Amino acid sequence: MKLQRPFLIIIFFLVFQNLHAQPKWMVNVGGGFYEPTLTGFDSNTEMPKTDFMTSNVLYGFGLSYEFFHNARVGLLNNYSWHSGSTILGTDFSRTIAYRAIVLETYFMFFRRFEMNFTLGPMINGGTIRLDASGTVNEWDTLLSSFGNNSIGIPSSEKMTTTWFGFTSMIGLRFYVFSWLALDVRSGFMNNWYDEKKWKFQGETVTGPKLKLDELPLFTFRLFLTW
Amino acid sequence: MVARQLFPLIIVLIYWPSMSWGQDSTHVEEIDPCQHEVIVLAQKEGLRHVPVKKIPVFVWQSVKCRKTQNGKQMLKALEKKQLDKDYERTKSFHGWTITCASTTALVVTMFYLEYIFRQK
Repeated sequence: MKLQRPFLIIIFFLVFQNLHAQPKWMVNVGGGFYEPTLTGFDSNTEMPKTDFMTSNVLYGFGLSYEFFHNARVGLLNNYSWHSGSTILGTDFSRTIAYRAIVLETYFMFFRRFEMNFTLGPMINGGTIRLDASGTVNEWDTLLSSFGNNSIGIPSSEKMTTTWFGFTSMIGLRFYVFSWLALDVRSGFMNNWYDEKKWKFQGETVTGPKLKLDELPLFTFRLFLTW
Repeated sequence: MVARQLFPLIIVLIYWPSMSWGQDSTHVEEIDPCQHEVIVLAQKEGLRHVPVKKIPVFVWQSVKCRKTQNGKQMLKALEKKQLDKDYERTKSFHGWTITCASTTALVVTMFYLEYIFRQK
């Protein structure tokens, strides 16, 4: 036990001595394409119709930090978003968030070109929100007693779920300047989504059927680096 | 009563222009933006050594420096130097990073092969 502490300190300095030598932060914005099978939304006639933009396009942002030669850690977020009105005219929105904690290794094969390799676990989330409007019995009775008609009371509520996943990508980056880069990546993501694990008002409910496992993924991003 | 209330304003109106006009602008030294401390730091250590909180100052001084004679060339050289430095530093893998990269390459290749064969 006594030997462990100095040993850990030496390892800490050996690993993190590079931390101050090459500070390099990166923020990125961009998008991507993937091909999920959103059965629960596509076949549902109550909800607004899905199209290419709402089911295959991803919007994203991220942050990464270079902590070692040729290696970065970071967060990559991708969102699939859909909103509209149900056939009854209620506002509806659906968000699927793909959040990855990634380890990126890379090398530059020309002065402005970089090849990168991304690997990381994902903590994903889904949200379905409905801004419904309905009557509440007690209010209805009280309002009726004053001679009023029924008035709809808006109630905004959402059902949510979380699941784990895994992503891996190979990418190519072009540095326009030392502080600005364009990045394209191709790879896949695997999700362990379970439609029986949605939550609504604290209760476990069944959500839409989605096939999100083994999905090819293509992303493009704009990086600001320092 | 009104005159008494306006008295401080009148004083300010009289003294402020006279003080402004009285300032001798010929002795205000123009500092060369290309010699600003953040630009000098970037020249010495590289662009990435400019602290994040000083980036706005660096950007502003760079814009001003670009307008001076040789400023544009100097900033281009700075940019090139940083890209060269990055390239030299990362043109080959170091330590364990090669293991991570090859694992990723293998995983992605396996996935695509499986995906292609499954489609057929």
